[in-house]
Amino acid sequence: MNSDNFFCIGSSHVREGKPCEDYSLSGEIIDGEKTYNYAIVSDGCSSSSNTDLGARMLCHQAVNDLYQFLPVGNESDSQILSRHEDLGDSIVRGAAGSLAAFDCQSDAMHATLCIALSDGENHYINIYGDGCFIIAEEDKIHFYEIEYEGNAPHYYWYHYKFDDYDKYLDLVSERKRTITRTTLGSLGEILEVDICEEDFLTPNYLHVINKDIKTLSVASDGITSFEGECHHYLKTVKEVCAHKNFAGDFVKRRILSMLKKNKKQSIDHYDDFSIATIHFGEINGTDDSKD
Amino acid sequence: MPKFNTSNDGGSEKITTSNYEFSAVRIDELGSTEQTLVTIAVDKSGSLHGQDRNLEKMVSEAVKSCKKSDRAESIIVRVIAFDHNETEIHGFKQLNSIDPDSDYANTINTGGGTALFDAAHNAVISTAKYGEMLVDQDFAANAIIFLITDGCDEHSTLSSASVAKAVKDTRVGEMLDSIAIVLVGMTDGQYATSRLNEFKNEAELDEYIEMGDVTTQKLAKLAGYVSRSVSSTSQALGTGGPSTSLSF
Repeated sequence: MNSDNFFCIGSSHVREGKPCEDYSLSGEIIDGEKTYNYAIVSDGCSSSSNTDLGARMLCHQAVNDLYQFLPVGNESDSQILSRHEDLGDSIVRGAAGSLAAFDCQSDAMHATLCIALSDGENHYINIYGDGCFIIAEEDKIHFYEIEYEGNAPHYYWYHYKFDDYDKYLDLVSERKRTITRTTLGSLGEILEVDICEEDFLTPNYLHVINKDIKTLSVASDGITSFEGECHHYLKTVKEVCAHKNFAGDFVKRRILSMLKKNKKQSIDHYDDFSIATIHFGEINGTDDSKD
Repeated sequence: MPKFNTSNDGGSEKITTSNYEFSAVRIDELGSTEQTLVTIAVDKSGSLHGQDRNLEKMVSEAVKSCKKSDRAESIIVRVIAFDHNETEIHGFKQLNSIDPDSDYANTINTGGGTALFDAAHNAVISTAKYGEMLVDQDFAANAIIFLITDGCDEHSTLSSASVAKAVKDTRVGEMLDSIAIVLVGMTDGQYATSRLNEFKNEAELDEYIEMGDVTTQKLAKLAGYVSRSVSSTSQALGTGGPSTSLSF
C-alpha cells in the first residue's frame, strides 16, 4: 500500500493572477503494528482571501490530527460518526488557531477538506464541504461528487464563525446537498448513475470494508472543470485512475502525462485541481494494459 | 550485437531492440516523474593504447560530478566502450546506484579498430527505445549522448546515413522531450577533424567539440564538460526544448 498526491493551478486563476487555492497531501501513518495510508485534498474558496493558506493549514492540521483520531476497529456507526465530527472539529480549531497569528483567520478558513484513510481493508472517507472521491476496482470506477446548491459548499468553519454562516445562509435558498455516484466500466462507459439529495448539515463520511479496491482517491471539484471539444470530465476521471505503475510519484506521473496530452488536444481545466490517491497492492510491476 | 554486461545487477532488466540488446533499470523501480537519459560512448580503439586508465578516470570523474547535481535523482546513465565492437560497461543505471570509484575500474582495454558509426547507432537506438518505454509509463524524458573518439570510422558495418536515419526517427517520433548528440574529437589532426565534422553533419548530430590530443588535463576538462551538459539537459526537461549549448 502506498500513496501520492498532486495539485495544480487552474487557467482562470492564472489569467486572474490568483494563487492556486487547492492543496493535497498523502503519506503513511504507522501505529504500532498497523500501517495506514492517508490522502487529503483541500479546495479554498476563490471569492475569499488567503484560502490558499487556509487550504494548506487544513491539510497539514489534518495529518497532525489523524494520528489522534485513528480508527479503533470494529466501531459502531455512532462511533464512526463521532470520529468524523471530532476529527473535523479538531482540524478546524487547530488550523484556525495557527492562522490567527497571520491575522487572516476568518476568510482563509473558507476551504473544503476531503480525507481518505485506509489500513488496506478498512477505508474511511471524511468530507467537509464539497469535493469528490473515487473508488477504482479492477474493472469499474465509482465516482462520487458532493455538490452544494449554487456551488456554495458548507465549510466546516461555519460551525465556529456564525457571522460567516449567516452570510452563507443568505447565499443559498435551499439547505441541500447532492451526492452523485457514477459508475464507469473498463472502457469509461457509464454503467450506472445514482443521485441522492440530503440536508447540507448531514455528516458526510463513509466506511467501506473491501480488500479488492485497486485505488482510493479524494479530489477537489476541479476535476469536473476539464473541458475541451468532445471532452466530458468523466473522461478525466477515467484518466486519473489509469496509472501505469505505482512506485514513488505515481499520481504526479499520471496527472502530468494526462495534462501533457490534454494540452495537445486543447483540453483545459479552468479551476484549480487537486487529487490524492491510496494504492493497494504491490508497488512494483507495470500495467501495460492502460492507454 | 554488442558484448553485454551480464553481471547480476538487482533491479535491472535486459531490453531488446531489433538491432541491439542493452540493460536498464526496471521502470517500476523508478519513483520520480521525469528522467534524463545519458549515454557516454568512449572510443577504446588501439590508437588510444596506454590511455585505458585515463579514459576510465574521465568517465568516473564525469559521473562523480553528475552525482553532485541537485537533479541527480532524475538522471540515468549508460556507458559503452567501442573499438570494432561495442561493449556495454553498464546499462542504463540510476546515477545514485553507480559507484564511480569502483564501477569503471579496469573496464576499458584499448585495442582494435574504430566502429564509430555502429557505436553511435547503438547509442541512439538504445536511448530511443528506453526513452519510449519511460514515456509509455508516464515519465517525461529527454536525453543526451556523448560520442567520444580520437579518430575516424574504419570498421563500422553501418553508414553515417544509418545514424542520421536513427537520429531523425527519434526526433520525429517526439517521444523524448529532446535528444542532444555531442561528438567529441580527442584529436587535433586536420584530417580527423575534417572527417569528424563531416560525420557530425551527415548524421545530423548537434555538436562537434574538438578536444585536442589526449592528455590528463584535457580528459579532466572533458569530464567537467560532460557533467555540466548533463546538468543543463536535466534542467531543460519539462521546458519542451533542448538544453543550452555549453562551451567546452
